[in-house]
Amino acid sequence: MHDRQDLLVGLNALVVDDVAFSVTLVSNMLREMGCNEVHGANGGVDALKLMQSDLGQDIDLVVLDMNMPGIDGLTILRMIREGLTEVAPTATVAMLTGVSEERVVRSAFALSVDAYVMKPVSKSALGARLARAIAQRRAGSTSPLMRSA
Amino acid sequence: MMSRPPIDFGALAELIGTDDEAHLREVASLFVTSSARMLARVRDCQARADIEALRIAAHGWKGSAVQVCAAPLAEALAQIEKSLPDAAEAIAEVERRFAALSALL
Repeated sequence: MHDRQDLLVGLNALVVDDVAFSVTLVSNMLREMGCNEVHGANGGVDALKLMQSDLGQDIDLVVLDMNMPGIDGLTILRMIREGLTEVAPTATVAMLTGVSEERVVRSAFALSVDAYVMKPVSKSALGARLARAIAQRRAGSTSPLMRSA
Repeated sequence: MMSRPPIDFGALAELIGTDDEAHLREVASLFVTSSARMLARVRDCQARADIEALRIAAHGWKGSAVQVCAAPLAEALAQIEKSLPDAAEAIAEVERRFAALSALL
């Protein structure tokens, strides 16, 4: 079982969503779970600016919305994994979205997303999913089947 | 038939994991503030007849409405997505439901 939310304590996180309320809500949840710095980005363009700045180097965890104008969640995920931002390609990345189309979910896992979480999600459920994803990444699991779908 | 409240605070309390009424009201209030911006974005997309941007805006706003347990508004936003490209009526309904939600707080 990897529902140890203490794994989130001290992590620096980035929350990306084009809806400001969602950024605030999820950021507050992460702070309550013990995250250290929690940065918010209103959309993909805003996120990219932050991730390409020096701040990007300190990000351990990214929580990403999928559908955003300009730059979507899959593009952000791909850029992280390909090392095109200052965020480490090995950072834990979770999608938090209302999109459940199989094609999109498959694409996210093909790009090594660590967790795919559907909205709405409770704080406890989100914490458990993120903790599991962090534990699996730390253990070096790379199989999509082992990740939290 | 009893009308549904704009926000189901019981469900929201369960989702966020708190019974603190002040905290719940703060979350709902944040949602209303954010929603005012989203409504402006939806109107702007409609005025520019940018269907894809309107779909993304309605979809994103709907996600937040679901997250805050504002089912009536979420359903009206889903209706925008369904009725595209002609979403004028659905947008009017969203405006009515958003007004009801704003009046609550």
